[in-house]
Amino acid sequence: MSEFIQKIEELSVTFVMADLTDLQALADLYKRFEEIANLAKTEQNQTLAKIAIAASKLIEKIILDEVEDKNRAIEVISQTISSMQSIAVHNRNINEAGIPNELNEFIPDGLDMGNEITEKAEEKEQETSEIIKEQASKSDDSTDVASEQSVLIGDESLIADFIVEAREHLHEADVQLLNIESDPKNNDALNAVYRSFHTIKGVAGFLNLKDIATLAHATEDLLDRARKGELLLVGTPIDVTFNAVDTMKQMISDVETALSTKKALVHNLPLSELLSAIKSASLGEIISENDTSKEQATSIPSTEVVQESDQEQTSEMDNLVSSPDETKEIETNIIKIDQEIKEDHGIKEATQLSDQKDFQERSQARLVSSQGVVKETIKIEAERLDRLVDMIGELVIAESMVTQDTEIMNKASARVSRNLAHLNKITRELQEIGMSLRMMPVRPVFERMARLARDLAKKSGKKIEFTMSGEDTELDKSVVEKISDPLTHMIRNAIDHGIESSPSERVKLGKSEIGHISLKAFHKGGDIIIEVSDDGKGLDKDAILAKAKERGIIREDQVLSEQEIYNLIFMPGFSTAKVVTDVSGRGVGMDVVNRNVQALRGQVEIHSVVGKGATFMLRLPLTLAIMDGIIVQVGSEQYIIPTLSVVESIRPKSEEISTVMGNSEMLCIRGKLLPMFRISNLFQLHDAIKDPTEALIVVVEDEGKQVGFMVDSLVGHQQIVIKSLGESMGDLKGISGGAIMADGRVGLILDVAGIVKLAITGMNSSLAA
Amino acid sequence: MAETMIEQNEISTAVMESGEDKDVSKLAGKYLTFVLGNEGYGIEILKVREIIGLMDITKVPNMPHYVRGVINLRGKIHPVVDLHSKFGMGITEDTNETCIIVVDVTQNGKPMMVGILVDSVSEVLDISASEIEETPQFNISLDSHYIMGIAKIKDEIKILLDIDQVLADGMNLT
Repeated sequence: MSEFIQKIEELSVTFVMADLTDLQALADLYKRFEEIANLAKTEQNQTLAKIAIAASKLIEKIILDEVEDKNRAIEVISQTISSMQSIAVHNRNINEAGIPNELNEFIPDGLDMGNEITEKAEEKEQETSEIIKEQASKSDDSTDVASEQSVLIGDESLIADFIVEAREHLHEADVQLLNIESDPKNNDALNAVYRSFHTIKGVAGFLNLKDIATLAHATEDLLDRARKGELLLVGTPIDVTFNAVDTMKQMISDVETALSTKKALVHNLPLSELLSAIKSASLGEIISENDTSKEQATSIPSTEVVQESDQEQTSEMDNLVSSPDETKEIETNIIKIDQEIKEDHGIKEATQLSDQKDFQERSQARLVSSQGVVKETIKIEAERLDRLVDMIGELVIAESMVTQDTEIMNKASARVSRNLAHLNKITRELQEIGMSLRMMPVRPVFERMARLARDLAKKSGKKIEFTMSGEDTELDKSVVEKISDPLTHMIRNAIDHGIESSPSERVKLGKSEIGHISLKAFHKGGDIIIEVSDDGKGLDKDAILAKAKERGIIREDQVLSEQEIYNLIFMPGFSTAKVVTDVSGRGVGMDVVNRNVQALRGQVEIHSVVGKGATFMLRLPLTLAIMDGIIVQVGSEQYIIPTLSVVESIRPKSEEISTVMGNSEMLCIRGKLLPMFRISNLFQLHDAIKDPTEALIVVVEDEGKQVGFMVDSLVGHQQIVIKSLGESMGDLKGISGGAIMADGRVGLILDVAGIVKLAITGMNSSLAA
Repeated sequence: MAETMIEQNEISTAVMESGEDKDVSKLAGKYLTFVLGNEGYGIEILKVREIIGLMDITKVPNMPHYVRGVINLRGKIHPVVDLHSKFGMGITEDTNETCIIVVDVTQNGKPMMVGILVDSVSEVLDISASEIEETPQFNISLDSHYIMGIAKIKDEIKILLDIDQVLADGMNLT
């Protein structure tokens, strides 16, 4: 009871503090009332449960803007809270405490205590489902005004949370649906998908996102039938479910767009078609009910209770039984379930759901702990994490500044050195942890690819087995997010063009009927390799060469290495040529792959054997935040050039330099002519070396073009942490960002492509800035 | 003065909106005053995040003359604006008293931190409404929209700067 009282006290404090014009505050109150109602139910205190539920309904009405006199309504809630306090704290009965008349209208069956709470709950759930239905019907004739309202009515931060949450649920649903596809009777997976949709439905309903709630509700119905064993999720039903997941994803994106642009929420989706497809799918095949319930029953020890119950409760029991450490609670739950079975065996879905909801929440939590493998995680704002990593970076710099201070090093006693060494060790460790914080496994992306492969295989009518390994390989979060696009293209290519177009063709070539595509991730050197390989046709070198010559990309007599030939498919536009696609079967979107991977400072390698298959290897850096750089001195300033783009550096002889039309300079190295630019001119530095023969030329390469930059000298080579220069500096020409140097100063990173552009467009435009 | 470190840890971003409206009574409050050349200036204390001594400033090429460059403040890179140059008072000779005041400003609706280079920091003054006068009309060449008001404290004149305005003009360099 004490927890109960505490909850009510908390509630009253929240109420007093709350700004009741704020939706967030109202939602919070709503949640608290619900909590109390649930608690009251478990405490067998029907009166309070009813009052709390009634109050929560009233709040719901306020949130949905259905109350005429808000001030009065808030007063009613205030009175309700104080009567709840006097009931709970002082053990008064309801007549002594008294509740406002207005609340009575929310308690249809009055407050005489004969009735069971479950009924109450049923009504509540029915009401919410009515609301959802109502919303659904409203959404049919939804106009722009209505949809706009649907965004504005909810609190923004609540919707933002919902977007994140819904995405997670949909991802989970995707993964589990793949499991179901391979094993349609996998009840755990079914339950997981069901749960995802159920949660989405609930929150979407609360946030007044009608279309989403409607779709989730329909899908939930379909899944519920599957759970009950009335429907087997194979063929059309599972395709429809996949479709529902995809549509839902799109809708969530729409909500996100609406939220960020503050525009009306518009779904341009064939929702009604999908809904009818779901409906017809759920009316489809019916399998023997007895079959599955027996199966269920044998898997559960407490059969007496369970056999009577239907599957929902069975699975619930399953979860409950699997947790040994909370037996007491389970007992009460079993009793409760028992009651439910006896009392409301016939009552439909809606009733059970209301109780189910909190049961599920509990059982979910328990599932996690009983498996033992699921690690505890905390969600943190990315910005805070970045700040932490920043501070660790600063600490490392400060630490090295202290330990390497000559004054300290000269005078340090053994004790001081020991302490400094200790400090050093801790700092390094902290740095390592800091770096690992942003790392996440590639699993979610790989799982998405598995889904993609399934869809594409189905579409193309090819038999394909998709395997993955190394899903737990960790990459920087930003890298993981960005590899999804290139991987999609590569997998699509492998399936569309790599694997032979018909199984019989494969058999003719002496391969197995089923095409294999594998997706692997592993460490190699300091890099992460992500590999997509297939056992299809492989790349046809001759066809690529012929096409390249035809299009004038290479000269007729040019001799290229194997790798160079393969690299031709990365040429923009090369891929879109239909002839190549037909002949060699590769190339669609490969320039996209290459560009994305280069943006991640990675490389693509291709290995291929004609007739045996092709392997595409993405070599990616572990993290985007750290880069190898060469530090150059120009006058009094130092700049960093990314090591990846540096080809060589030379001190030119005077005969190697020639001017063109008096101002542009050319450099002739080993018979090759390169344009040469003076960094000092581009950046208006006046104290740099003017004579090229005393300076250094750094030859850099960008997109296959080489140019020379004239600098004073090379200072060194260093791993640097890349930072943005901030919004205020805008888009600086020739500078791609800043880095914190070893001495704590800011170093500027040269943007090779940008400088070339700057040099070519002339200095006039730069001066204008 | 350079070694004075004032840290305003609890600056609520809610108090960021500044005096668009010219009612001088609303300008009363605490101001950090500093010196530029021979003139005294003040900025709202709530805009000030911290004051740091002069440190190495990395020059950024192709920037307007009044952007001195960028500094690293605890792992984040921030631009530094030389108010001397900004106001066309010539370039500051750096002295021991030269300071960087790091201010919180909002630009294009986004909060950001910018360092402003001043000759020296004086003190924090509580300026009452009676001491503040509306910005008088100057000749057209002077950008009076930088100035929220002018405070007369004893015999000294403090020019109260709308730092958001001052920096808004200068920093959008694309």
